[in-house]
Amino acid sequence: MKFELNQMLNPLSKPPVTQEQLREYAEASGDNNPIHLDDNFAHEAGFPSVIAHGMLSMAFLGDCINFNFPPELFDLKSFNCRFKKVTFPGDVITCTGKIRTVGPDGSLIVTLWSENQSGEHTLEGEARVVPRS
Amino acid sequence: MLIDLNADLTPIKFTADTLTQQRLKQFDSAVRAHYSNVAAPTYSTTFRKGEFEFLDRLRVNLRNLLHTEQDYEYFSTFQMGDVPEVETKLTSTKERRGMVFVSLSTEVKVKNQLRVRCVSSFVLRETGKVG
Repeated sequence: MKFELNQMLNPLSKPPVTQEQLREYAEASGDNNPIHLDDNFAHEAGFPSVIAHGMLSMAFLGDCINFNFPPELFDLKSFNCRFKKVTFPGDVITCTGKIRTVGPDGSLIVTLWSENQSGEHTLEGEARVVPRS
Repeated sequence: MLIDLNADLTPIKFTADTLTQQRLKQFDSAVRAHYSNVAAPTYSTTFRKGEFEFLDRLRVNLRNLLHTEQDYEYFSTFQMGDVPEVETKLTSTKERRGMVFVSLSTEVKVKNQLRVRCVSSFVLRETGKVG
């Protein structure tokens, strides 16, 4: 697989986030903060409803990395993100990115972001991947 | 007071459950993952028990808590049957303009070999209202 500078990644769209999914993610991850599970608690924190775990949104972006750089072909060396905007149940998140640098050994630094159905960035981040030899 | 500055800051160590295909599948299913078969890039979030304990020690009101940044640095890949040893440390707290910034670092090792280092950054603000 050959990548070029500024090449866009294949976007990955996720199904709409659901409250059931937030319960599943809480159980799988161990993050049971009630702000993700209890509407009353979320209201007290200033939100109209429960909000998705930030780490669920980051997991979507991680899935996009694997989608574009399959682990059997690439090693992921680092991955970071900033949480820019809250995701609510019903939101449809699309993840994508762009090749920012290409190293002589084929290693890549990739700018990543996810956006909601209104085109607002919910996460922005970066990853470094290296082709397996 | 957004955090208890007199809290016990001793690093938290624990042994996580053995990595199994079932655990990976449960995580991937919740994420509606397109790609599966290996530990997802953010699978280490399942080792955040020490972070939650630290936030509890610091007497953080979860209504005031926002997760602002997350970093992962990967050193080796998880394998089925791994028994992860996890250590979480408080790396910084800063107060600025009525908000408190907290950073926690977690290292996950297997048989003393570092698999991943995770840094979670949070901000605490008084009202819990988010813009």
